[in-house]
Order: sequence, then structure tokens, then C-alpha cells
Amino acid sequence: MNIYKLSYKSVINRRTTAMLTVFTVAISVLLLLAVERVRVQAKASFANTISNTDLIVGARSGQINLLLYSVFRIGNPTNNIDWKSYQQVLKDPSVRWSIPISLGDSHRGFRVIGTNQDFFRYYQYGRKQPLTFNSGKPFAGLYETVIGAQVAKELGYQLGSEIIIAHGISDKKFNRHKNSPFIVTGILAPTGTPVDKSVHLSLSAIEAIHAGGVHSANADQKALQKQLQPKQITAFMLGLKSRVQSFSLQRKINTYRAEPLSAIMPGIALHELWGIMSIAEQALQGVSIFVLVAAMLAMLGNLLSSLQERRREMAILRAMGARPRHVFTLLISEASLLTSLGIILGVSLLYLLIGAMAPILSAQYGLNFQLSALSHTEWLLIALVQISGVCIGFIPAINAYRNSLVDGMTIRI
Amino acid sequence: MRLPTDAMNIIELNNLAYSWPGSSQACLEIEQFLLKRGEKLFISGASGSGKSTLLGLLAGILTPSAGSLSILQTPFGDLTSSARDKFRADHIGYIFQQFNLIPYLSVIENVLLPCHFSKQRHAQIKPDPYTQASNLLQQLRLPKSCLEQPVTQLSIGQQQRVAAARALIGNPELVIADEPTSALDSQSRNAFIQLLMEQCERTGASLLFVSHDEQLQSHFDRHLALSTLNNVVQNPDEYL
Amino acid sequence: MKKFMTLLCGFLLCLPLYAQETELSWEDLIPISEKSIIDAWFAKQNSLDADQFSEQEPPPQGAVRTDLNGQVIKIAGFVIPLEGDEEQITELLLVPYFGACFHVPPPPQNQIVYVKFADGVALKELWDVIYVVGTLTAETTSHEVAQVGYSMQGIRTEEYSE
Repeated sequence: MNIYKLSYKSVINRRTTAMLTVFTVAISVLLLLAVERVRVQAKASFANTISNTDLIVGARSGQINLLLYSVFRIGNPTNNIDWKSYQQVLKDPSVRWSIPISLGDSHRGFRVIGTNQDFFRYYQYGRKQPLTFNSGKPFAGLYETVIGAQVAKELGYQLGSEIIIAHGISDKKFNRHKNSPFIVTGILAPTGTPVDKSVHLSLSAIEAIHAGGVHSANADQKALQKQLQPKQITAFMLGLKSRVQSFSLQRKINTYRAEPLSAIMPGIALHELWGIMSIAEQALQGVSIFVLVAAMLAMLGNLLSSLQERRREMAILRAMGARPRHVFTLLISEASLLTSLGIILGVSLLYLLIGAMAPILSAQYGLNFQLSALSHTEWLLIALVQISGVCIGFIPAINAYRNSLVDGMTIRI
Repeated sequence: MRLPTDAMNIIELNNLAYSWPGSSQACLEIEQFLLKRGEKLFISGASGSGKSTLLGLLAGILTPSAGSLSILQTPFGDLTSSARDKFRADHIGYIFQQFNLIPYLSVIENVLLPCHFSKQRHAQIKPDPYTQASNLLQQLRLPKSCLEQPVTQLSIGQQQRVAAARALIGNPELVIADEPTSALDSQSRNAFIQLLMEQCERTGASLLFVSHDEQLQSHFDRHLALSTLNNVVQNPDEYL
Repeated sequence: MKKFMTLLCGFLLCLPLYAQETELSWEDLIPISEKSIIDAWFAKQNSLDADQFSEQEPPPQGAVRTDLNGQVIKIAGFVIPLEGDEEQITELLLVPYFGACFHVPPPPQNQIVYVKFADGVALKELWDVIYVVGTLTAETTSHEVAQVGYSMQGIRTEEYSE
């Protein structure tokens, strides 16, 4: 048996107070790691959502707002834009491709996107990855839809399933249009982006829903076409022939006289979003550090208060031939042990929490959390906690060391 | 006057003086003190007569202000405090008046405590620590059931005997007992001393037994009064 | 002696490799012909009285220097991240001035460099100032009305200091 076994037995003996200390350390570790993980994985989720897109254009609004609703499906647009404005922009010689999108509807909690076939041709995510189909193909007819991987999985849809689209985001029985069933013609492969949680229709289909959705096979096709020509869209994405042309086209769109529009470069808007997030991140990190300090102080209080009643124990050890440095080591290793146990508990709680919360966070906020191994930074944070524990241990250890020198084998009661 | 050096002396004190740090007045002054190998010495002294100081010096915790002290022919003056701690671990067994045992260790672990501060004592144990410890406890009339109990559940008498076993394990040359029977009732007292003496006899250890109860001196080879040994005049009030 | 001469020759031969990287300023990216036209226009503007400011648009800008095509250059600028993930940037635009506010016109097309890093570089903050070293491509394509502009195969970035 050595000093470390002694310190282990000593801690086990003071089980209740030791457990409280371990819990406070665990909570601080959990907070530190959770904040770090949210920070990184939120950033990663956002970073991988859209790629190879030069401009996103919507009704005049803030950059971040436009980015959030058009790409992340978070929040709502301030206004729609006129189809004519869209057509006008497309005439600019620098434009290579465009994807119009129309938002505002939902299906059982999943957002409905009105768009055209260019979406499946040109939309890219991650590192310039295009969309691929797990099964089926893009919509062609009016009442056809393509759904994202998560929609299919959660609602159990397959090719040929019939679904009903509601008007507005909130999906209640009274605004579901019973007479507009859509047929699933394609299911997209998972992307890890909000595309997975979206239901895609053609722009005409959106118009059809809002026009009342009466679908009669005998209706005059030409008249139908005219009626279903989109008059407004929410936003559109642009790919240019040369990326250096982004600035000048952006300026042209922002100063377009016929309608107030905003054009953003996704890279810039994303970094601005991260800039805002970083304020929140830093605040949370600051709070976590304070919680760690509180936990360390709690442990210190616990160890110091135990010292008084342990003077007898120290005297016995001294009588057995323990050097003062043994007493010092005993207390340092107790502090270390308590900290280590707290860390282990904290990390376990972290994974439990992620496991439990991941589905909710994914559904509500589009953030993907995986049960991945601890990152380099997270290991550094753990090291920080362990080192703090050892350093805090110095205080009772030095106290005990000095006491044992003074007391020797006699105890002053 | 100095007696001729005897190779059999376990303890040799010459002109030893000790004063507390910050005090110019010495609280302990001893011209000469010897303890032979295998001798069982009773030192009577009331609290305040310099007993704790003497024991602290003998154990190597305190450093003499003047004079020389040798244990097992090793002059303590030459050793650093760390070296004295090691010496104590290797050669001295110590018994307190009460609360001898560490509450979070088992009986056997308490007995074996000196062995992990002293490789020398550890090496003396045959065949294995557990067996040696239980044998010793048996010889001290502790029932086997005690071995499994937490130390806090033992009676005072049993605790003192476990302390004795701890002092004797690994055959140290010197056993110092500081009022080990003061917390026991008179029956247990005599039984304890009896057992302690037997074991010291068996291992050949010297025993230094300090107590204020002069009635116990009959058990021992020699008796010294600390008040006689200590030249410093004690304040009568301190006797209380 | 022979060994020393070999080493010396080798060293001298290697020098051009290091010397190849030319540091350019943003002005250097403008062809001389265009520069002289712009300078003349500015001179004219300055010579007018306040109430005589020309209504004319400044002359068209954006021509690229095809003689720079294929050269390894080093240039400092502000970063506009385009592609990448949470740790790296794979594509960025390098521009000569800070901010995208409305009271300055956007940089002309020969004052923007589209930089690609095949292996990615560490994430830079928006509007960070860095040096970029890479192989410049200055292309015009004849069938487009708008010229393509400068792009660069990035080799590395360096910290910028005054």
C-alpha cells in the first residue's frame, strides 16, 4: 500500500462530502465541455450548409436575417420579392445560374420550399457537394414533391406516398388543404443540412396551394399555366460566371430602384453570424470558468475543514515515520483524485446529455450533435480542470505539512 | 562524568537540553540517560514534566538545542529531519494513549502501516504481511472476528492491542509507549502490560513506557522519575 | 575546394527559386494603359471648380495584366471567406480595402483576387489582413462581355505586419 492508496481510502471514507465535491467539479466540467461542443458543432453545422453560391438575394433586410431564413430555415422573411425583379436580375451578363425559392408553408412541422428544378441541379453544400437522390427524381408535374431524408425517415414516407401541405408554418387541421395531396417522387440523400428537413415543391405548386388548390383535369391548360405563374418569391440564389464579379452585381442589386432588395455574399454573412455568436460564446465561456472557480473553492473548503479533524491522523502517520512530504503528497493526491472523479463524471454526463438532446436540437434548431470523441480543445479544458484541482490541493497540503511539522506526534486539541 | 560507552545501549543521551523556539528558557535538561538493549524501562512523569518533549526528542521529531542523542549508536545530531523520520520508521514503534488507529483503514492495514514507510521492517515480515499481522494480533489475544471489523467498532482495549501490534510488526529495536494504559480500566491495564512485555521479550525489543501511574512500575526492570531526570525546575502549577 | 564550389553553385541556383516570388501592390495589378487614363481623368476632376464637377462616370476599369499570368506573387489584402468549413478556408476573395459600406464603390474587377487553396488554410476572420502567396492567373475570355479577372492558386498565407 502506498500514499495513493491511503488517499483513495481516505476519500472513500468521507464519502458524502467527497461526493458533493465530485458533483460540483462534474457540473463545472460538463458546462465547460458543453459550451465548447455547442460552439464548435454549431459552427460546423452552419459552415457546411451552403457552398459554391455567390449571392443570395431577398427583400431588403439585414444580412444575417436573410441568411438565416433562406438557408437555415430559421426565422421568417420580412417580405417577398416581385417575380419581375428576379427576372431583371437574371438578365445581368455575369449570372450563370439561379435558384428561386419560396417559403412560408409547412407539412407536419417540416418547412415547405417552393423552387424549381435548378435547385437540384445547382444547390451545393459542404465542400461543393451537389444534392443526390436516395430514390426517385426531381418533381416534374404540378402535384409532385421531393422530400429530404429526415422527413422521409421521421414520417415514414416512401416513393409514391401522398402528403398534404398546409398554408403557413403552423400546421393545424383547420388550415390543411385537404384537396391538395402531393405525391412523393423523390427522396434526397442525407446532407446534414436543413435540406434534410424540407419538403420541396415547384413554384407553381405553391401558387396552386394559395389559389385554393382546386385541381380539375378539365381546366384549360393555358389558363392554368397563367394562373400558376409565380408572381412573388421569397429569395433567390445566384451563381456567377466569375466569383470576382460578386461585388459589382451585389452593389447593382442593392441599389436596384424598382424594389428594395438585399444581396448578400454567404461567406460574409456567415462570418458576421459567427461574430455575433462569438459574443454569446465568450459570455458562456466566462460563466463556465466562474463555475469552475466555484467548484474549486468548494473542494478547497471541503479539504480544509477536514484538516482539523485529521490532525490526529497526521500525527499517527508521523509517528509511523511519514515525512512531512508524505503528508503533503497525501493531500495533493486527495485533491487530484476528487478532481479526476469529477472529470470522469462530468464527461459521462456530457455524453448522456448529448445523447438525450441531440434529436431535439436537430429538429428545432438544425444543429447536428454527434457522440464524437473528445476534441483536442476539450482535452485541453479537461487538463485545465485537473491542473486547477492539483493547484488547489496545494493549499490544504501546505497547511497539513506545516501542522505536522509543528504538531509532531502531539495534538493540541 | 561520562560512563564508558556500551555497545548494547539502545539510547544514549548526554547533556541534552531543549528549549521551545522563541524561548530562552530550557524546558528539558538531562545530564545523562541510557537504555540498554532488551531493557524495559518505566518512566513516571506527570503532564508538563517534560514528557512530551523527551518523547519528541527520542522519536526524532524535535531537535535538541544542546547536547547529544544517539539511538542504536546513530547520533541524531548528524541526521537531517527527513533522515530521522526514516530512522523512526525503521527502528521505532510508537503507541499513543488513545486514538491510535486510522479510521478508514482496516485492522490489518493499520497494523501494517509502518511497513510501507520502512522497507527494512517490511523485509522482516515472513512469510507474508497478512499472516504475520494476524499471528501478532492473535498473540495479543485479539479474536479473529476483530480482524474484519472496522476499527471504530473495537473497544479501547482492543484498539490499544492493535496499536501494540503495529508498534511491534517488523521487529523494531525500540518500542515507545506514551501512557498506553491510561484510557483502560485496571483489569485491562495489567493484561495489556503483560502482553506487551511478552512480545518485547520475544522480539528482543527495548521498551520505554511512560506513565503518570506509579503503581504500574512493578512490572518493569527499572524505574525513573522524570522529575528527577529533568534538571529544569518545574512550575508546580503545571502539574495540574 | 571542389566541394565548396559545388555547394556554392547549388546555393546560387536555388536563389532564383526564392527570388521568384514578387511582392506586388494593388496598383501593380492595373495595366499601365488603364492607369494613365484613370490618372488623366482624376487630374481633370481636380482641375474643375466645385460646381463644375463632371457628371461623367469614371473611365471603365477592370482590365487585367496578362503579363502577370503564371507568376508567383505575394500581395497583402483583406480576406472575404467564400468556401470552407469551421476550421479551414479553401476559397477566398482578397480585396484592397476594408468594409463594404455604400459610400465607396465596390472594388473594380482588377482589384479583386479570387484565391483557391487546394488543401485549405487555417480559418481567417472576415476582414483579416494577410499576405497571400500564390500563382496568379490573369485571364480574359473573349466570348464574355465581362472579363474574368485575377485568380490565384494559393501556396501559403503569411501574417501581415506594418
